This record gives sequence, C-alpha cells and structure tokens, in this order.
Amino acid sequence: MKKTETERLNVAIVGGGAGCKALIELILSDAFSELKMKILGVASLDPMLVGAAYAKGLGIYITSDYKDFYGFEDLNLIIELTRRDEVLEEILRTKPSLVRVMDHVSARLFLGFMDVMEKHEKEAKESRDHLQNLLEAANDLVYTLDLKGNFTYLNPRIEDFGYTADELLGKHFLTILAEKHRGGRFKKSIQEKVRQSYEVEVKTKDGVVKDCVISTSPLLNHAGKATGLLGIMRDITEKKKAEEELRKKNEELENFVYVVSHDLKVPMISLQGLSSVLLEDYHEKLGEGGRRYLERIKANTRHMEILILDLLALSRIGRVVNPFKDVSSLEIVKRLFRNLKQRLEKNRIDISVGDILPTIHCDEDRMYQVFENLLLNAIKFIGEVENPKIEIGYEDKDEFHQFYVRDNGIGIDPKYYRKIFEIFQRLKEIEDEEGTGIGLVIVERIVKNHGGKVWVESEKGKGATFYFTLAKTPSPAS
Amino acid sequence: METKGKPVDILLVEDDLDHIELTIRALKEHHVLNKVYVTKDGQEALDFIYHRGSYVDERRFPRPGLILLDIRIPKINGLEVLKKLKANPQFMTIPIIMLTTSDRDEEIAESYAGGANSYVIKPVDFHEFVEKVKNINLYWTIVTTLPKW
Repeated sequence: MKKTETERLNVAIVGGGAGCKALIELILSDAFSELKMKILGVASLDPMLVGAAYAKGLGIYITSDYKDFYGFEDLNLIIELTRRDEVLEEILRTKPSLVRVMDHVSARLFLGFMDVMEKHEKEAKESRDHLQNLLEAANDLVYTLDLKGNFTYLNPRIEDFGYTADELLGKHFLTILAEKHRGGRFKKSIQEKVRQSYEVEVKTKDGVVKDCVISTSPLLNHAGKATGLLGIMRDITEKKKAEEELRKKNEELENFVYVVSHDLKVPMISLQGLSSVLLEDYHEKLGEGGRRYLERIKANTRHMEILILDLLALSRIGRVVNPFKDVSSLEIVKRLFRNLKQRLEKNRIDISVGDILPTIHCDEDRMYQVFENLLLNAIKFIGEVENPKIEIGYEDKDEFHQFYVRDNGIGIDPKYYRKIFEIFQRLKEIEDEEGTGIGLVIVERIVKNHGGKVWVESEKGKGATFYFTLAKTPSPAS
Repeated sequence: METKGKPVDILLVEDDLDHIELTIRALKEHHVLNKVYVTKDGQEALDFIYHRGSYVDERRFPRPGLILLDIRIPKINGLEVLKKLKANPQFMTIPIIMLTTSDRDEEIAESYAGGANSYVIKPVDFHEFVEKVKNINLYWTIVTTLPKW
C-alpha cells in the first residue's frame, strides 16, 4: 500500500475555468510553500478557457480527458471544478482508490477561506507596517533591549546620536551611556517589572555627552514574564542649558536687587537725617507750612525705607540659605509675641495659641519671618473690631504640618485671594502708611522653599484665616 | 587708671559728607567733649594713625582713643584698614567699631575675625541712628575703661 507522503500534495484539476485559475494562483503562491503542493495537470474540455490557458502558459500538463490523471502514480487529490454533478459522480466512481476528491463546493469554500485569510494577512501586515511607520516617524529615540540589555531594535533617531541601528544591534546599551552609568535601573525594570522615567548621560559617536531623559517599560509575555525592555529617549541638553541659564539669571537678578536696595540705604540715611536736623534746627524759621512739608518729606523717606528693607528681605531669601534644623515652633511664636508685645497691647488684641505647636524641621529665621509677616498682617487688618482676637493654630496633616493665623478683623473679599500674594499689590482697606505689600510675597517664597503652600480663607467682615503648610521632611528647595 | 569722663579723641573714617555731619552731630549730643577727627578714605585713615603723608604732625593729629570705621570707603576699604591696624602691635589696642550700612553676614563675620571690637549697623531712621551713636559714645568713653597709651 502506498503511503501518502504528508509533505507532498500532488493535485490534478478538472475544469479549466476561472476557479481553476484562482486555484492555480493560490497553490503557486507563498501560502502553500510549506505544504509543497504540486499541480500535476489540468483537465479541460475547452483548452481556451481562462484556467486551462493559464495553466498551459505555465507549462502545466493539459488534457481534455481527466481519466489521464488516473495513470499518475503520485496523484493525491483531484479537485473537480466543472460544477457538473455527473462529472463528479463519474470521477468518484472511476478514480483510483487512494486518490481523494474535492468537489467544487468544497473548493469554493476553500478558496473563500483563503480569501479571508489573505485579507487578514494583508490587514495584519498593514497594521504592522503602520506601527513600524509610527516607530520610525517618532520624534524620540525608540528602542528595545533583550534581557541581557542588548539592543534588539532602534528606530532611525539613533542617527541623531551619530550611530546607525546596524552597528548597535546586539550591543549592550551601556555602550552609548556615559561611564558613570552601571545599569542598575535596567536591572530594576526587569526584576521588579516597573516602568521608570529618569535622566541619563548619553555619549554620541563623537564622544559628546548629551543629557537625556528616558522612559522605560518592561516587555512582558502573556505569562507575565519579562522578555525585554522598551525605552524612549529624548535629548534634553538644550532644555537643561536653558534651565541652568534661567537659574543663573534669577540669581543675578536677586543679587542685583540686593546690591541696589542695599546701596540705596546710604542716601536714605542722609535724607532722613538731614530732614530731621532741618526740622530741629530751623523749627521756628520754617513756620507751620514749612514744618508740614518737611513732615511729608520725612514720611515719604520712611516709606522708601520700608520699600528698600522689604526688597532686601525678599532678595535675602534666595541669597542666604540657612541650614534646616529641628526647631520648636512654639518657641518661635513665643519669641514673636515678646517682640510684638507693645504693638499687640496698644491695639488691645487678644492673642492666643490654639493647639500644641510641634517641633518642625526648618530654617528658623525664615520661619520667624513667616509668622511675623502673617501676624503683622493680622494686626493690620483687625480694623475697628470690638474684641480684636488673633489666634495661631496647628493641625497635623500626615506628611505636612499645617499652621494658621486667624483674625476676626475686616476680612478679605475672595476675589482678591490671589492678588494679595503678588508683589506690591495692596488692598488699601486700612489707612496704612507702612505696608508695601511685600510681606505675603516673602511668606509665600519661604513656605515654598519648605515644600509647602500658603492660602487664605476669608469673608468680608468676618475676619481672615491664613493657612500655610510645611513638608515634614523638606530639603532646602532650589 | 580710670579714663572715665576724660575727653576721648575719636577718629571717624567715613566718606559720605552727610553721614559725617550726622554722626558728629549725634556724637556731640552726649556732651562729652570728644574731639572728632575725620578721614575720608582708607589710605588717609592709615596715614593718620601712622603719622604719614598729610598727618605727620603728632600733636595736631593725636592717637585716637576710639575709631569709628565704615566699610565702604575709597582707596583701601574698611576691612583692610581694620586688619592692618589690628595686625600692628603698636595700634592693635585702639578699639575699632565698625559703623556701616552693611548687614551682610559675611562682612560681620569678617570684621570680628579681623579683630573688630564691635559692629554697628547704621539704621535708616534718624532717631534710631542718633540713639545708637550716643550709646556707642556712652559705652566706649564712659562705661568702658580704655587702655592707656
């Protein structure tokens, strides 16, 4: 008994029409390269039919009588495409016993399947091409690594770094990174299967070091096991340079503010001194009108002085950074009350501390400034209330300390909540020659440097509460 | 020997004319008849102490019992003058009080490190200024006993 060789399928087609042509094309296409199908011949009554002619053109054996095929020893399958039942029956009746038959209905179904498959194949390929195009088109470098850390794919952006994808495929990613990198983050991505984003220094082909940020994710198979790493890298050298320049400019600006405001002190001293001396020595000669003008001059120089002192204070916040220490906030507040005792008593303000104040990790001098500015503001905005009260309180907010300074004064209209934190913006609610509107700016700056925020809650006529938070473990922020 | 009440000669080293006038006026408020000598830059200050240049005559320009020294002065700045004088055994005993607008921590530290006996920041408010100068005068000429020379 002849064994049917499963590697080889030898086929004969009966019927030379369009179906025949379609089938020949399919069999000769890549789709069946594994099956190794061979067409032994085509039987067609009319040799001019499209399938028969096509087969003849390809050098396939043509006959008008399908019974010729019975003589072929290696024939496995006859495919009947005549669509005439009597032909099918005849073939079934007369064929060699081990030869199989596929009728035209099955063949049509089969061709239909193949069409669908081809369509899917095409769609899948389009999808792959599309994705490929996206990767190639991406503005950032996209790459993949295997578990050892060698490159398995790089999109064309690698050329921006002077390399070609070909020269890096199979090489370790540390090849293009600066010496200081050890690949620890890569290990973490694979072992812990986490996504990460971090900065690295990349060496271009010419050895130039570029600052880059990379975003990586582990590639997992459907069992959840890591098979590699996907990375997206962007050159941020320019951005970093710009940030550094900005930082320097800010520093320069702050220094400038300091130098100017400091140098202004010298003529200020002279102005105040000389106007005072003038008032003293020429009191009678000036007369009432003269004295009044002189008083206005002195008041204006006092205002200038406050502006300058405020600017100096503001510039100092950036310039002078004191180390953070553990400090008792209660002691700060107590010291503040002692220093402002006269002012508080003069305005008959009832001052209290609402809660237990904790130890905080901070710059003590700056924290004093925060409490001082908020308290001075509260005193200012008390107005003509019957029982002026100011309360300082605290709430533990897990990662933050939250303090508040509350008064029962004239309050602040909500639409000015943001404005009062802008430099030199004052709400002229209170007849106040002293304020320059910088106090809250200073408070906000300092609080920010401690990793916190400051805000106000208030209602006109019902007092105001200024809240501020401090991170519990802050580091002096840049 | 007690120098209490004895008029002490003061050398004021300051370049701003208005500050000079205001400081002298404030010093005089105390009515201790100090004589106040003024030099307007660091070079002149050293010449005065060393009796050089225009200050050769020791009788016209006696050794001061106290020096009020500004930092921002021309030619040689106050900190340099301070260091030179304090490094000199002959003159290191003259109390030097820095009288300046600067509130910079670095300069305060450098002054004391250089041997300054005191550091006073000039306030902008005139009355405060007068008070401070009076207090300096009071402290260094009445409260403190100065060394003989």
